[in-house]
Amino acid sequence: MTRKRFAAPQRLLHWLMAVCILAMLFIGVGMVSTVTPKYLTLVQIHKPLGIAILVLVLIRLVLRLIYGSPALPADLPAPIKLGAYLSQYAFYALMFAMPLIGWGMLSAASYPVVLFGSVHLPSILPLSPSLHTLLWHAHFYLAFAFFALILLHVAAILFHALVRRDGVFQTMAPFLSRDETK
Amino acid sequence: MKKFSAAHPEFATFLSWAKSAPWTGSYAEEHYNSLDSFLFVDGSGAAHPIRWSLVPAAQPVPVSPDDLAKRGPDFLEQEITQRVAAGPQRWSLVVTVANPGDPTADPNKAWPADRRTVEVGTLIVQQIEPERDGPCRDINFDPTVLPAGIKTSDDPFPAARSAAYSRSYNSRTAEESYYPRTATGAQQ
Repeated sequence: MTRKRFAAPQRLLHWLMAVCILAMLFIGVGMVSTVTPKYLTLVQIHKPLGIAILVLVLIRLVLRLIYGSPALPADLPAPIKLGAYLSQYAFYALMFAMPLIGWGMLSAASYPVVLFGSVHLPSILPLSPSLHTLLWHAHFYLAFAFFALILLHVAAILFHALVRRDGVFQTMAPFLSRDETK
Repeated sequence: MKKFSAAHPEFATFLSWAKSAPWTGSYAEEHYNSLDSFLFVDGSGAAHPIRWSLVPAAQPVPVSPDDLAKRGPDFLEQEITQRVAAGPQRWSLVVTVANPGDPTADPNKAWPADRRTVEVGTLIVQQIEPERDGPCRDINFDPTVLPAGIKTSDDPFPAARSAAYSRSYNSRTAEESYYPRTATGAQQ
């Protein structure tokens, strides 16, 4: 028998990371748009939260390998199925890439990677203006790509939940709907 | 500039200081003052607002602005290079501790001259390196990157400088190829 829903720890991580990642995107845009003391507060949140997301996505990948994922509805058209698989790969790629690029970008500029107080992470790249520029641009443009992917994801899940009503939303829903608890 | 001064009356404080400040012919004879306030955290965790100054060991020799105008465009760089080559130059790092109520959020407001000062170290300059091949070329001087025990205060300027310098660093490093190291520098 295949499972109908993602395992509880998978669902918990999905929603926890959804909040973290959305917060990160807005903090990122906010911090490069201000010269007020809020700038320092936002940067101080951005760095450790990015590393937290990196740790969480590692746990999430392990859970995914252990628990797998519920099968998509059999009647789902092949192009939509392909889109669903590709979007999951894109999400995992971005969740790993964004914190690593950020960490590498700070390393290439020889900035301290401050987690909190005097707890610093080691530098993962040598000082290099060209690497810094490359990674900075990657971080910037991939952030917008990430936001676009989230919008696509939300549109897709609304399509599943409201138009097709095929139970795909329920596989990751944080709670059970009344239909399912019957 | 007039419009700017009118919109920022506190700018006049700087202008009047700049007119009356003693002029010297050497970086080694100058005071360097943080202006910005920072917090020093003691062993018990209590934070003390401070401002720091680098006070030169060299005796300042006043030079009139008219005499300075007659010197070459890079005379300060040339002078400090020759001076340091002849012998290391020293500055004392002096920390001025605020009294309760001293303005820390406005670097434009000086503290009374009787505040407690503590000499906490000595800066010894032993070598002058040209910027182009030097180790500081590709890093950002960010006044909010501070060692353990020193924190930013309610002074908003270090945060503003950090945000602006970060942006300028991104632009500067993106144009690095237009400012290559020299052949001799690259071999180092």
